[in-house]
Order: sequence, then structure tokens, then C-alpha cells
Amino acid sequence: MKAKIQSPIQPHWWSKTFAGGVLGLSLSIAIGNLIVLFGQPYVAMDLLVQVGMWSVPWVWMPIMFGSYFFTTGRKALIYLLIANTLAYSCIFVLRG
Amino acid sequence: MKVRSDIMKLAKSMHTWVGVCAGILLFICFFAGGLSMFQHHISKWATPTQQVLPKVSPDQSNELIQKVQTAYPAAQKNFTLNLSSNEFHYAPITWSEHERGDGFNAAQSTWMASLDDKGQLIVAQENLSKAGWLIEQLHETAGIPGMAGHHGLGLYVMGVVSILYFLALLSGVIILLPTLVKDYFVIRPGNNKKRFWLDAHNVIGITSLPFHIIISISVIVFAFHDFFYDSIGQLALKGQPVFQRSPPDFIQPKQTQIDVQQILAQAKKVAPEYSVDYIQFSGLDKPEKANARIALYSSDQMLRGANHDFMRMNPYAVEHFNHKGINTQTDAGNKLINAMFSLHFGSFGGTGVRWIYFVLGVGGAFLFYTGNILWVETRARKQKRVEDPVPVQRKDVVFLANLTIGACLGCVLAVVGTMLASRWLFAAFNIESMNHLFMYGYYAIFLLTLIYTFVIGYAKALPQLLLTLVFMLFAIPLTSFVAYFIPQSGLWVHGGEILVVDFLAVIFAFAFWRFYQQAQDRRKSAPTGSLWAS
Repeated sequence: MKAKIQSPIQPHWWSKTFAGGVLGLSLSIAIGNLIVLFGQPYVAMDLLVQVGMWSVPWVWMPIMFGSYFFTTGRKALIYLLIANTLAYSCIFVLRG
Repeated sequence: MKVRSDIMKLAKSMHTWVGVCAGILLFICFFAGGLSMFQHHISKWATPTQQVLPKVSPDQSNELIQKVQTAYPAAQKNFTLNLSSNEFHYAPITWSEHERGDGFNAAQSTWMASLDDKGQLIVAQENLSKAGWLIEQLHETAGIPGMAGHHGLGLYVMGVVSILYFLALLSGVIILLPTLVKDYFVIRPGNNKKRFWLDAHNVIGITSLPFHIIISISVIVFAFHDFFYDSIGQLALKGQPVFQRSPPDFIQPKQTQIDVQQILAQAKKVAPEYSVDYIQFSGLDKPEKANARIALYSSDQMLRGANHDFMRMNPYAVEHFNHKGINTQTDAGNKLINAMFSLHFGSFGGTGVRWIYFVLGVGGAFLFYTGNILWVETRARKQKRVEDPVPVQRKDVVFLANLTIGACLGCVLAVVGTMLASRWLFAAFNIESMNHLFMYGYYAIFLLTLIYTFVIGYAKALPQLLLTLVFMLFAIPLTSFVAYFIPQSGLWVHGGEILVVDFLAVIFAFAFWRFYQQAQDRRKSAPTGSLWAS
């Protein structure tokens, strides 16, 4: 017999799309920025900003896709909000 | 591989809806993108011989430049010197009186110059025919008109569509996972048409998945890079400009005349792996700031541009150059960035990769077409038993079938039709601007096909449209044939590698002939009230 799935994924299209599309984007932008901040001492700036810029969609798209697989839209919003807070805190601490 | 049922359900809904929303626009971009691999061939194919001046030998370049600049002061500011590029095949030297801004400009009024056998200057002003360039515009914008800032509105629309496209790609992989091993590379023809469409959709989708992922990510960058860069400038760099310009070298040029041989020798020294295709000179009226943008080609490098790497040089002081844009002269990090561009453009590996990208582009278009047809087939109402009433198809199913067939075939018909029409109409009426003909011709045929499909219904329209396309495609090499044997017809033909356009037309003609036969058979055998009955 098939094991029953404990908490099946709810569709929640609107909230998850908002989570992935808006919070996912802001998180990816933060990660792109962190790459620039961490790389500053080691990589020439004109290259580094390009790497940072290109990493935004490469990070954003998997996050956006992944956000539909939270069990609920609420969870997607909460986890991405926490991730955003952490990422932006890192940025503001690092850049001084 | 097993996938949880709720994940499967989610992936299926996602794949269906993002696919249907993005499919048709992606079809147009991929079809045009595939063709854009040969865009300069297509431009040349559609260029009347009146718009082409004779070539000159490289050692005549300096003489030609001097004569042009003496007679035409506008060329003392900027001009393009063509050495061996198909893009500027029209004449050895071309220039325009006004600098063109970014964006769309159908009036391509250009001066061009060459030398005749006796070394006399020949000059002409023409509205150059640029069919390939328009196909590239179609590729970038899906034909959505209008500008937003310095990019076409269509580019931003396609940026958003690319997000849907990425979701469709990954959800499609999840749907296929449980049956991947069993279904991969199996195409089951036979009575179950849906099975056939699904098999075809799967094999193309999985085989070209890495290509599609690269394309979708790079399109998001092409559309939204300004926004991403601004965010880096504001956040990480605290409002500093993202790209800091190093103070310009203080250049005091010793010479006042351009010496092409000297420039070419310097380019050869800096980038011995490359050959120079063309050079764009600008700002020549201020020698200390003058610039030569040199287009370099090598089939062994990942090129950053759609066709070339570029280096910059002061044409009056060739020891001052910028070679950062050359793949061989840069570090691993920059090579990674170059690869991102190159993998979108297919500008690596020479002609072989161009053909692969052509196949991937047209295959991608087919992928989106089959996706929509699958959506339609899945929702078809069938008469299961003879005594059941004749089914009536759902309105939304009929709508999407009309839209898919009308828009996709409309796009193909419009591109092929305008290309064909350009040769005959130019011969008959001496058209002043070929580009306006291409553009309005495209929209007219596209919209007419769409309206026609909605009016008479997709089931009836499909075989008719396919047959029209077959005739048009066969007419393309036929036109070249007439031009070759009856030169007084006013038609023209360019030989050599440009014949690739005629060759492709024949290949496509046979393919669409096969599609036509299938569509016709299906229509005849379709029971009353079924999806394909008309």
C-alpha cells in the first residue's frame, strides 16, 4: 500500500509566485551583491560586477522554481523573508 | 524513478500553464533565432545587385578612404570599412550622415563607396536591404512593436516570458523523471497521435535542455541587466558607478591620415589568432579621441558578440589600443562571462556550431508548438461509443488551437512570404525601401493568417496554410533559378555560400510537404465533431 503523504504540497499559486518572484528576486540580488563584496579583495572590479550581475538570474530561477515546493505559500513567504533578512544583514555589515 | 504524487501534480499544473502562456511567443523567437544564425546570409540573399558595389583589394583601402573623405565631409567623422564580413557586404566603405540611435530604425539610408577598374571613385546612396537584421529584431522582440527606454518593449516582455520558460523547463523534467529511461529516444508513431506528439516533445526537450537553460537565463540578463547592475551599484558599491572609467590616455597622434595596413598589422600583432572582418571608425574629427572598433573573428574562440570579438584602437596612434574584449587576451573570469554571451549567440566553433544552433532553434520552436498541440489534444472531447452524441469541443480548446496554428504558421509564412515577395516586388516596382516592405509585409501576412485561421477554423486552415508554405518555399530556389537564367527579369541571385538560403528553403519545403500530407490525412479520417474534423 502506498504510504500517505504526511503534508501534501498545496498549490497556493499566488502567494508562492509572489514569494519566488519578489522575495526570490530580492534574495538573489542580495547574493549577487554578496559575491561582489566577498570577491572585492581578490577580483578586479569590472569583472566582479559582471559575475555578480550574471549570478542574479542563475540564483533567482532555481529559488523561484523551488519556492513552489514549499508545502504552503505561507511557509514559502516566511522562509524567504528570513533568508532575505539574513542576506541583507550580511550586506550592510560587510560594506560597513 | 519515483516522484511523490503531490509533486507530480504540482509540476504538471505548472508545466501546463506556463507552457501555454509562453509557448507562442517563444515559438516566434526560436524560429527567428534559428534563422538569425544565418542572418547576414539572408540579408545578402535579399539585397538587390543595385545595392552592391565592387570589392577593392586591401591595398587600395587607403586610397579609397582618402578619396571618400575628400569628396564627402560626413565620412571625415565616421565610416565602416568592410574587409570580409557578410554584414557589410554592400560596399568596401559605408557611412551615414546621421548617427543612428539605439533601437529600431527601418530607414537604413546609407552612403557607400568603392573604386572602379580605373581607380575612379564610385558612390551611391541606398536604403539598404537588411532582411536578416529585421529577422534578428523579430528574434529579440517576438515582433512586439514599441520601445521602452533604449530597448524594444518586446525584449522586456521576453525577459518575463523567459522566467515562465525556465519554470516550464524544470517542471517538464520532473514530469518526465518517472518514465525518463523508458520513454527517452522513443517516438511511437501509430494511431495514438497524442503519444506521438508527447514522445517528440520529450525527446527534443530533454536533448536540448542545457541549451534551453542557457537561453532562458541569458534572456533574463539581456532584458534586466540594467536593473541588476543598478542594484549592485546601490547596495554593494554604495552608490558608486558600477563600471569606473579609467582616465583616458593622453594621446597626441603623430599622423593625420588613416593607414589601414598599419592598423591591420597592429591587430595581427595583438591578436594573431583572429582575422579582421570589418573596422568601424568613429570620432575621426578629433584625432586624440578617434576610435577604430575592429571586428575580429576566429572559429576557435568563444566570441563575446553575436559574430565577433572586438578591440579598440586609436586609428591615428595604433600603439594605443584596448584589447580587453578579446577572448585570448583575458583571464579565466572574463572568459566565463564571454562564454555566457557566446553560448546564447552560438558564436563559437565556427560554421558547425552555427548549424547546431540553427537546428536547436528550429527544434525549440517545434517543442513549443508540440507543447500547445498537446494541451489541445489532452482536452479533446471524444465520442467513445457510436450511440453517444457528437461531441462539441470546448471553446478554450478551439481558441488555443486557432491561436497556436494561426500565430505559429503565420510567423513562418510571414518571414518566408516577405522574403519571396521582396525579390519579385523589387523587380516589378523598384521599391524604395525594402525594409519597410519586409516589416509591413511581415505584420500583414502574420495578421491575415491569424484572422483567416480564426475565421475558417484551425482544422481546415492547417493543411491550407502548410500547402501555401510549401509553394512559397519551393518558389524561393525557383526565383534564384529564374534570376540566373533570365537576368533581364530584374531578379537577382548571389552565388556561393548565399545559396544556403535556397538550400534551406528546399529542405523546409519537403518537411512542410510531409506535414501537409499528415494534416490532410488526419482531417480526412477525423470523425465528425472530433478535434481535427472541419
